[in-house]
Amino acid sequence: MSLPASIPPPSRSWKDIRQAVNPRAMSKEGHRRRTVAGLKFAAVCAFVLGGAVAAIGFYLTWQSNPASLKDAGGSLPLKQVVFSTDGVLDRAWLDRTLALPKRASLMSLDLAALEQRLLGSGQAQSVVFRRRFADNSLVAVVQERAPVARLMAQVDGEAPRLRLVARDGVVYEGVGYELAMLDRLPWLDGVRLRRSSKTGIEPIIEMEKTAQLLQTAQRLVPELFAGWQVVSLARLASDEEIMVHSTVIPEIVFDARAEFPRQLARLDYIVDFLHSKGAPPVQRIDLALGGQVPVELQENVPLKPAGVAPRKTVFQPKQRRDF
Amino acid sequence: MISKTRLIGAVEIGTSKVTVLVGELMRGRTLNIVGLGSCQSQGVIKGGVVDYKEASACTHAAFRAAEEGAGAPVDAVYLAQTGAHLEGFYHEASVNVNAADNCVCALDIETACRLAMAKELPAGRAVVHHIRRPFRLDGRLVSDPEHLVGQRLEVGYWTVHGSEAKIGDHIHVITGFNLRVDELILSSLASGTMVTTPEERQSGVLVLDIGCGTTDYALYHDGVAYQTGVVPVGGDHFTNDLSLGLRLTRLQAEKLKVRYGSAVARSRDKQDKVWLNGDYSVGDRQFLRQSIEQITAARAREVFEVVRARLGAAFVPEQTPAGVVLTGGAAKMPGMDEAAGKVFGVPGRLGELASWVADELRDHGFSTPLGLLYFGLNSQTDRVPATRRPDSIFSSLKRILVAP
Repeated sequence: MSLPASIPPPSRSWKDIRQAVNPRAMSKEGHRRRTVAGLKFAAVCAFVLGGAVAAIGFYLTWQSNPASLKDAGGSLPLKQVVFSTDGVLDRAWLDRTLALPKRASLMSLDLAALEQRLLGSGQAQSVVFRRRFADNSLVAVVQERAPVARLMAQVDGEAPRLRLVARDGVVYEGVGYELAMLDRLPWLDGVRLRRSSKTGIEPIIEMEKTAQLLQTAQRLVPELFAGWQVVSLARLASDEEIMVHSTVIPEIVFDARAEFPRQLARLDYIVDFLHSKGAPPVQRIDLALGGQVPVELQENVPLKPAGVAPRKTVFQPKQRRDF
Repeated sequence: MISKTRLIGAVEIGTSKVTVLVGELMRGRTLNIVGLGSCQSQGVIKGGVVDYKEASACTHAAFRAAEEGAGAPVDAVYLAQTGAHLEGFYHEASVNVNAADNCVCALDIETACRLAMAKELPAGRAVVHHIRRPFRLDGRLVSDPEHLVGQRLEVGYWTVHGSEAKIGDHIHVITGFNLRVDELILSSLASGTMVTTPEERQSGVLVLDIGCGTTDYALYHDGVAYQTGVVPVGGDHFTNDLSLGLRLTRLQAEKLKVRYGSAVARSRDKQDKVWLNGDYSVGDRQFLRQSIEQITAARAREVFEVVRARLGAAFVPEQTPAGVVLTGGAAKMPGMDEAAGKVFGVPGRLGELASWVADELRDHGFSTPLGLLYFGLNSQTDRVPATRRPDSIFSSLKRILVAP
């Protein structure tokens, strides 16, 4: 419904009077107010225009390169990387592994990706990154794994390379270790390695017991341990036995289910006893049979004169006999 | 961004002084008076601008003072309008209710209102106000006829119009300060709203705003202004009469008027004389008090009689039980209420401002600017009643943004 067309238009109102005024008719104060109003209007226009330009720029960037929008601190360049570790890794390894771009900004760094890059080496057990805005630096704190054994592994058709095995079974290429320390590590044998897409080789799951044996031996019978050359896990899964090949005794069998200190004490006692009997060459000592320890001697080897065992262990003679 | 607080400047460019009040309108509901500027008027005679530069200079000076008091620039201006060029007429229209069930709809109301307002004005005239009187539905008074049943709807408007040129002069004084006039309000309506109560306006009251150069009047019935007008006679004419009758300068006559003027001749003592200055200075002389009172009383009576004549048949004493309420600077003369009562045949009294008005503003000279702020906020007299159209997107958005 609409109004009838016969209604005449409303009369001219005072609101129809033009309110614009000739600038020459304005007072001084009026001019000042007009100038201030013009400046305010210009400022608002500039603000709106700036906002519009920023919005358009944002939209275009969003369309073309959305990743750059995440660079909130793009104008804050990274000055240095502060590195600290509890192991042997050095600054060169860090720089090589991180491979940061030269003009990287502090906020543009993807710390999660960097952390994965360091952890991928295997030697780093945990990594903590922290942005330090006071001096625009990145702080990296690394906790390293300690090797308990070594092995030779061949990955992707490359030449066999030395790898180290940590207590938790992680296999990694050691960096920064002294050769003498590496030479003291026993070789690991009888393990089936599985390839991993991330670290190259999957962790050895049976390593926990083995590492326990090695560390206990290193602590309790260091002289005996020094002669351990190969630790074999070939019968660990089937018989729960760990075999050690030593320079003195070709084959020592440990029971993985029993306590290692007790077995090591027996071994130490037997070695001492054998020394006192002229140190006959031993072929095999089996510590996995509970109360009995069969000692198999080598055939056709002359006996040496009897003497006191030259080594010194943490076990006292009485303690060893009690075992 | 839409601010919830606006500074409104109420401006009265009078013959004797220019007054600017700044009101802080908060959320469209609360009003605080935060600035006052006043300046002796120049370039204004009988409410009309005769010297643009002088009128602008004093108005802008008052504006500056008011804005300095408020501490912020004014956002909008409500301007009082007076002057002898303002006239009014009554025009009414009626429509037959369209609906088959004779129920009045919004379109019937709008049609009646548009017809009543649609009277062509002479060239050079512009409408200042359309003041609607109550609707009549089949002869009975109704405030809102929508959804009521009837056959014939009538409505009338009291239309106030003035010289476009003279109104433009007033407006340009404001625009010269780089401000826009948001509302133009008749002085008598502004002051009348301030010095009378809604009950008085409902029962019937006549308001006289006697200024320096003009006398504005507004006759209220049924809560609305039935008739308004401006008489080009004010306090200046009292002074002028004294000046001519007693052979004095205007300054001396003004002094005598303020001291001894009375709207009723009370003095019976023909020997009672008063001194012009009272300081024994050279040229100081005595005048008969009776002469002074007779001159001012005659002029006061004349002013009231002119107003009564202008009102004509519209003024019926029996329909004006609230009497005559006087305001304005010249109303302060003793005996004005008594003189008005005699002429109009109803009780006369001096208007009193509402209790919420601050003490420094409780003067009759401020009733018009105060009323401008009050009237501008509350009056809807010149608007067509709401027709309940569906809101537009923009009005809905604005309501959301502005709503508290």
